[in-house]
Amino acid sequence: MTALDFLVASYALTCSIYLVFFILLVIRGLIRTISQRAFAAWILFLALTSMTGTIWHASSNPDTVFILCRVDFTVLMISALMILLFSILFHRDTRGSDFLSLIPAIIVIPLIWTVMVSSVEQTNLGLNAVVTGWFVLYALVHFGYYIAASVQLAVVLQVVRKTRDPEAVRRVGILLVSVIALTVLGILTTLSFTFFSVEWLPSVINLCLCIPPFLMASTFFLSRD
Amino acid sequence: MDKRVMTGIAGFDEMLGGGLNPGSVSVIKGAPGTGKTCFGIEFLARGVEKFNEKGLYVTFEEFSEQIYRDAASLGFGFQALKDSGQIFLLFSSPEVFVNQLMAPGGEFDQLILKNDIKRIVVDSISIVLDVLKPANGRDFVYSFVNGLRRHRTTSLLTKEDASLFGDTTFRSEGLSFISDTLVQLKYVEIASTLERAIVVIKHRATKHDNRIHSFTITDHGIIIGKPFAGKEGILSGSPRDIMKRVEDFYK
Repeated sequence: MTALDFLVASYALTCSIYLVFFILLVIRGLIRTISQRAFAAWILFLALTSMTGTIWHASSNPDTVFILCRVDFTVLMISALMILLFSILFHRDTRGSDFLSLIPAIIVIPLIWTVMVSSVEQTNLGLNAVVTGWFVLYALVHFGYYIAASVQLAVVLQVVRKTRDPEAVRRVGILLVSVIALTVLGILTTLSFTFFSVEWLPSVINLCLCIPPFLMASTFFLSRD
Repeated sequence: MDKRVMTGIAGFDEMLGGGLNPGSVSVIKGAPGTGKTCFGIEFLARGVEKFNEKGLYVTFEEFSEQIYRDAASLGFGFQALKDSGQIFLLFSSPEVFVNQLMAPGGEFDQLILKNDIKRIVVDSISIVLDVLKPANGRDFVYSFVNGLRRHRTTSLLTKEDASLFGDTTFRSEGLSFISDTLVQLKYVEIASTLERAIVVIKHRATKHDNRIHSFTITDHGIIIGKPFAGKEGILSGSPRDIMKRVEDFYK
């Protein structure tokens, strides 16, 4: 098995796990409330991200990859918006000013499709995207959303801890840890493709992305109540 | 640090980190009916009962009978305290009171010094400001507060909020900067019931409890309750229960 095969397999596995988690949420009726829907949408977009990643890295057609990497970046941005929306809904009522948080995404998504991805190049890990300096803005917005979501969840955890309800503390705590883990792993994946030459590193990090959905699923399906 | 002036109100001194600062001027603000006058009455009554400190209650719109009735509903015999020379009741117009307050050596000073008054309640500063409409409000408030501080008495000013819910602003001509302690009383709606909430917004040179507590007015005084854990939006008057959100999410 080559490093590229390993990478494609890791993306496929990640995609499967997120898809199964999403399907379980739907089957168990955990899409009734608006916060549940936002959460499920986030999981679905994460699955779609992995799906585009699988196809992207399995493809040998530069034109297909050129489009897929744009789709991938777009879906990732939408997933970041979904987790931010979920975290707000989990914490409090939405306010009119919350819609301002859409502005960075509205600015960045057209950039993805115009100036951010310049070309694709052949690497040891298949065809990879060559990005321009706009990628820095994209990364800042994307991880900014995740950080903002983590802050909202941390506030919820702080409040929940005061109620001394151990089950609620466990659930919100795991949720927060999962979001932070996804943020960190997301950053590491980006860095591993860009700055490190170890071929297996992106795959290993990608496999680590399989852990958060299990953690989050445990908060829904492994209740101590 | 000087010994604190304990209000004697159950749970309030704990929120204040031990009590008010001696010789300080505090503002307690809230919507009509939230309990500002009750805090003022109990501050004076407990001062006499627990700490043997005489008090002066300055009122501009409530007659003495109303004050006695309000105090009786809290379990305090204000009239008896007045008759025994422990509590002094000054029903005045804002103009007259301000003239007395700002004249060193005048009637106000004599009343304080002659009777060794330690605690003063002015109910309310809003009426003074509304009636007198001072041209330079900040200077006026500064002089007013300094007049109260002159004899190291510990004073409590009540101030009315314009709105029943939601008004947590402290405009009032710099009162928030000049006063030593700011306390906000609020109505909050929880589970279709109106509850009272209290928070110490500012308490100079003291580590105070910054949580929002519930409180109740009983026939034996004010009782500060537990903080509103698990709720947000208390000060806006419509708290949402974060715990309910968490429960709904996992339901």
